[in-house]
Amino acid sequence: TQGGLSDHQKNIQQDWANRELIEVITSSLKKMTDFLNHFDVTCRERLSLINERLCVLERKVDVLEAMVTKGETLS
Amino acid sequence: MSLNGEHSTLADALTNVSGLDEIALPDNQPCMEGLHSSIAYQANFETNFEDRNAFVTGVARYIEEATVHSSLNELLEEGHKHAVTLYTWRCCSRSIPQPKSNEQPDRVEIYEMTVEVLKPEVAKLLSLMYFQHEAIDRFCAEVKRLCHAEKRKDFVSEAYLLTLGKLINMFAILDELKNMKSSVKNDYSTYRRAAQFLKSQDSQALQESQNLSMFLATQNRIRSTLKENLEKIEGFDDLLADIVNICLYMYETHMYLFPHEKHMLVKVMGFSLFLIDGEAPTNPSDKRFPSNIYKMEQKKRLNLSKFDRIFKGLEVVPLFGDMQIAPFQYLVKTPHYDAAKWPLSASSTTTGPQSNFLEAIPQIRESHLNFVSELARHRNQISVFQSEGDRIDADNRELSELALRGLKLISTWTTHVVELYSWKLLHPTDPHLNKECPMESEEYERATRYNYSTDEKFALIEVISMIKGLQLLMGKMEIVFSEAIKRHVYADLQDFVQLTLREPLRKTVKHKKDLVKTIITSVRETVADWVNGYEPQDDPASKGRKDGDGKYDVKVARRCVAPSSTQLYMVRTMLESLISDKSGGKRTLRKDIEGPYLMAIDAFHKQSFYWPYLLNFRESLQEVAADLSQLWYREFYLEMTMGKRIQFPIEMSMPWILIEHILKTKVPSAMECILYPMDLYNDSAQYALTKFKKQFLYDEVEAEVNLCFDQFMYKLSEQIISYYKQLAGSVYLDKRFRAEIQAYPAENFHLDFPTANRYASLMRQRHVQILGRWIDMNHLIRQRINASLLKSIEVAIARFESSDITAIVELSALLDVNRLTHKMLSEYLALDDFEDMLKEANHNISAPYGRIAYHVFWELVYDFLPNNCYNAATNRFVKSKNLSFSVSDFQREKAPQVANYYVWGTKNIGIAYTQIFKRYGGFLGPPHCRVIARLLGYQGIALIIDELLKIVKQLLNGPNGSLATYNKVLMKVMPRSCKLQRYDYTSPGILEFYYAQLQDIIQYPELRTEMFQSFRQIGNVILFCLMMEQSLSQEEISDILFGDPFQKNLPRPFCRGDEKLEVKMKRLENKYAALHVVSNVDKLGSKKQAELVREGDLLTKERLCCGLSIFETVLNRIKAMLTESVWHGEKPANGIMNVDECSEFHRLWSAIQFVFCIPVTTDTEFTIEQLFGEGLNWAGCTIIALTGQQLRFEALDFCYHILRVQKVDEKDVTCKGISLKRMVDRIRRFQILNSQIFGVLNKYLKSGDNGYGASEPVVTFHPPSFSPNNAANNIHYHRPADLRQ
Amino acid sequence: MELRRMEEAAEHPIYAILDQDIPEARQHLNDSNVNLEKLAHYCRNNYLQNADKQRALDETKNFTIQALASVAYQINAFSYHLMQLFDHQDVQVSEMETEVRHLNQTVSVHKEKIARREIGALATTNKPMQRQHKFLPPPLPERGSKYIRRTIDYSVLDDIGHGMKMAPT
Repeated sequence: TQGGLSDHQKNIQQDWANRELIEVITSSLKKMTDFLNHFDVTCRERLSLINERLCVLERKVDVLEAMVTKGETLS
Repeated sequence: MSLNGEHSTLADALTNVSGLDEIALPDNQPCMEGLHSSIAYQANFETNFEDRNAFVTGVARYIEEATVHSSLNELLEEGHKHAVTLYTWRCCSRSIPQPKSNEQPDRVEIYEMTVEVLKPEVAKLLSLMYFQHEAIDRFCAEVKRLCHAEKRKDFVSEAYLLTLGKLINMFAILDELKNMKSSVKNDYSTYRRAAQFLKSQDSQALQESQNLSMFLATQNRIRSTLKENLEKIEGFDDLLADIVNICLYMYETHMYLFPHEKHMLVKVMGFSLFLIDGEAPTNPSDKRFPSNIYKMEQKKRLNLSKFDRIFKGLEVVPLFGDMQIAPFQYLVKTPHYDAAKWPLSASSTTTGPQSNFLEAIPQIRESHLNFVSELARHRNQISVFQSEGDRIDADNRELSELALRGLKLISTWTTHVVELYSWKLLHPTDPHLNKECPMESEEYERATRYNYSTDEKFALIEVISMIKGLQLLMGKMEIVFSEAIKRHVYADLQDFVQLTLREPLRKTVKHKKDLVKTIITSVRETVADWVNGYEPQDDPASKGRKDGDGKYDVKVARRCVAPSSTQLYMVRTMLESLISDKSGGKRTLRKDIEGPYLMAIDAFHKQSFYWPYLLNFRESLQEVAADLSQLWYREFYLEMTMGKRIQFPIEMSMPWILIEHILKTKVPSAMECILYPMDLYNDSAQYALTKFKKQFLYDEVEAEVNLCFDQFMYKLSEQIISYYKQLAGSVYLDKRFRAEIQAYPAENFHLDFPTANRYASLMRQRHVQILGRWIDMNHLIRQRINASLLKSIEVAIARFESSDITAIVELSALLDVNRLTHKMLSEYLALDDFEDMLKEANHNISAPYGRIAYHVFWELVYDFLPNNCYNAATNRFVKSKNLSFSVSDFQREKAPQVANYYVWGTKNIGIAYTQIFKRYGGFLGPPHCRVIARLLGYQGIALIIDELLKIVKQLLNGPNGSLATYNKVLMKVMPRSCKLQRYDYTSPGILEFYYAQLQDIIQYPELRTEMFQSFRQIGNVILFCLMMEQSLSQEEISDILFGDPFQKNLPRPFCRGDEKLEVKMKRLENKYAALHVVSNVDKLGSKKQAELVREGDLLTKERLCCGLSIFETVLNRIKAMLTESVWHGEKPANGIMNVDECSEFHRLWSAIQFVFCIPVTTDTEFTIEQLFGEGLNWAGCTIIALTGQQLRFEALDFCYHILRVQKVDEKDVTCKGISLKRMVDRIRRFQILNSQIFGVLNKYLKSGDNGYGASEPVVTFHPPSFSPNNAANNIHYHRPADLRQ
Repeated sequence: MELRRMEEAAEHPIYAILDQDIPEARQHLNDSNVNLEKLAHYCRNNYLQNADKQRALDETKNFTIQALASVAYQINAFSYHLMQLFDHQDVQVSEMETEVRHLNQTVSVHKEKIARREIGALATTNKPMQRQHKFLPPPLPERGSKYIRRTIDYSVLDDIGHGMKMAPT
């Protein structure tokens, strides 16, 4: 074996290197999942805020419409 | 951020990933729920020894052992599946119809259907039977192999013993589950009966079903077969003793992480001791080798006292789901059982620490506090200035130790909770122990619902919140932790292998200890990751020589990667073989290694025990608290109800008990932890899906969650609205009133403010994850609060509609309290506008007038006008005592019966307010009118005044029974003329004269009833309009004053002599220019806004009180009604005025006045003031004033005349039963009243330009022309002296 | 209606995002999802059949890195667009809110006018109203009291509650 490096050891070394790459990939995947989760939570928050404002608006418009159209309140 | 085609390097990829963090992701929701997220990503590199052949340099025996390990793990997996089938078995035979009698025609079909239905289930039971058979054989083969004569001496690794222990534990579980599940036996017997009837089975199948029924029927079958087979193996007790000791060792040194591992150790200890101890064979031929644990204790092989302490410390251990077991019971069943040997566990007097949960709380709380603060410190440190790259080894070590400590803490807390729960399950309470527990309570109810004291429930809630809270905090730092752990593990491993092992290697090479040398070299070769890719050849240590002078330093690489599971296993097992001190007689290897290196290896071995857990940090974090999911499962108790219950109601379910406890006790600190018990459902559902893999269990959890969440939302919203309503009610309550009450505290009546509660963070929850669904709690609460606020306004109005008009003050206060509640709640919830709600409740949106307006009008007409008497002194209308003149007996609707929080908040506050507003109940005065003005607004008041005027018109000249008709009748009866008698007739004489003249009117029956009533109503209308206008102008003035600063009307500043007022005013106006709305909006706002503001400004300025009067119009309207001749009488004969003729109304009024001036003789009779109040006089005087007869009236009134005469002759005699003196007093009083009324009326009539004064018909008379020679001259009266001619 | 929508799209960026950017980004993601699936199969087969395992392995590694970079980029782009969408939505909703507020004020002003007209029918001018000021300046300005310094007496609150009484030093 060349320079005291049995092919077994070469495999082990190669294994370490490969697994390191795998770890890097998995940790970035974790980061991305983390980002997606945060993103998901923020979107839900913003959607809920917009939904809230729209609901209030909708009810306000209903009231106004009722005031203006039905009943002879404007004569 | 770039996507540069095909050749982006790893560095580019990583920059892209880290680029994601730049996007700002704000989430300002207080985090109060457990650790879960939409996407869970778990990378599991556990290879279960598949890659074992790769490590050829490892000691061959351990590689081969690795293969056995992997197959045993598979066995354990399958065992778990069978345990799950048994545990989650629900009896289906009860629901299968049994043929009643043998002749039943369709019984064949029933049986066939039964067989068809039960076939798959029975198949599972068959596979269980075969599995346990095969598992026992495999296990005994393993034991036999290890107990073989020469193998005894060999070293058995700790991991292997542990796996064998796990197998024993599996057998114990399967055995207990089979015993417990009677439904399995019933189902099988139904199947068997059906199969036999159908005779469809061949002989082999028959035999098989016979075995199965025997297998299922005999209790403890698995346990006994296992024991039998084991006893055939000679020396098995020695191996089992090893297993027990290793379990003991691991238990005592806490070498476990998950709670279920700890419990598994205890179960294995109990069950193994039971297996070891056996009955000695009576006849020698029977080759069995049972042994006796007590003999083994004498041979120092087992230390029973330690076991005793453990079994006492942990009396009850969860076996599977909600099935519990007391490990000590195994010992009791051993043949050689001797209670003396077990002082602690055998004694039933002392109770173990397991049930004493509260004692452990302070310690838990303290450890939680310390750890969280330490975690926070690290978190800040990391987020502030540590990028992941440059963390040095020490930091990584610290972080990974922190992670481990965290996991251990969570595990200990979960263990506390689970152990308490399991102890409680096995010790249900009963009606004697716990008073609240009803006699007819069910078994499961007594184990959960009534079995926990309030403190215990709070403690449970607190600990569960700590567990989930810490889990969340650590979950958030997961990436940091896993990075640090990998780096730390790699660094430790490589340092140990490449540096620490050099010394022992050098020693062994020098002293030719080749066995140890081979092990060490194989360890180094299995796992070493040499810095420049290959092992340094010139390392003196490998030759056994010293390092020479210069320190031979080996550079060790640093990577962020962990060893593969097999690598770690091989290294640890080999190292263990080095340090293991029990190696079956032959000299143990540990003697060949000097002390310090031995210690180093041992330390490394211990420390690396936790590495597998740490390397899968995410799974361990979930798994460490996964046992909480068992709090919901109750198959064991369901089984015990023998079919009476398909599923227990939520009141008996632990998570709901905790939630409801928080809701009921309303303790602020616990309120914020309310989502954590709800999170238990998530865990149970997760467990049902991943571990039990049973859809029906998940459906049951889901059904319960749906129900519980509805209940939770309903109760929470109810609590929130009642809390804020009570707060508003208390804030609004009159301070002096409250001080008065506080001064004399009645024992059960206190008005203190509600204890502050933390609903805010609950209300700000916009995305709560329950069973994978994201729920916007803020939205749900908002809808419910909207509805209840609307309802409380409706209730306020309905309460007003159920009482008389004086209750309007209470209505206004109640609306203000609701407005305050609304304002406080709007801080967290986007509620509808309060005014819109008020309009909606008041039905005032599409209709011009609301319910309040209609009820005020209704009350005025039917209750106020006919019944109230006005009193000028107090300026109030008061009801005459118990006399109702209401036309029809009208009743009001009943007040709505609703919960307190729809009204004032709490009962006590309600009582306080009713007391306060009772004082407004008896009368109607300015306060009421101001409120009416505010609530009804211009439109309402206009409506009321119009309607009232219509009524006056009705009363005056309506078709039947109106005043006009009565006047006509009276006019007929009135004496044609009625002179003012001369003084010398003396006042009694005049009195008698009038009495005689007006006799008919006095006797006229309707006068005192109908006419007076009509007059009084007209008077009340006039007075009400007057009071209304005054209140209205007060409201308007306050509005104007509020508006002043925004309209540049500023108060005059003080200026000394020399300063000019205008200059000061100018400076003041500039100072407050910012407030001036119109100019600002013109400058800043849009055109539309400017226009709106200008109109608003105009509306604020132009109010009624600025130059307009309603009362005057009312008078003119009434005047317009008085057109009939009966009011004005005929034209005066002499063209100027009627003196004595009684055709005008004022004459009639004089007569009427005469009638009611007659003093009351008996006390049972009521004076007209009591009956009709001053409204009567107001009506009369108004008509007189409006018809312009005031002066004539005052001049020619009979009573005034009597008054004047009596003043002169001071007579006091009673004639015709009337005491003159008293009559004169009454006349005097009425005269003052009349003049007051005329004063007020003239003020309103004269002031206007179209007032009465201006249009007075002035008739000009020419002075008589004197023509001396006209015969008519001498008809003039001349004084006798002038008549000289 | 469609015409108005079109010119509105020109002026309102939100429709631009809604109509193109987001579907486009999603399409990218879907495509890459499919491609990566195929790529994974290819790599596995390649590794199995290919004699030169090392080369196959390197190729797979390279592919993974590319995949990571592209997916990260696409996610970033997509989330950026979504964030933009939310911001524009906020703007649009607040515009709607102002419009409704104006409507609300116009209606309430109008209803107030009707009320005024109804009450006006009942009211006649009777006296010229001259505004007299309610707040009259004080005859002489109040003089602020001068600040006199008093030493802090620590035992003044002792009798409140059940505190320990300090001996008056």
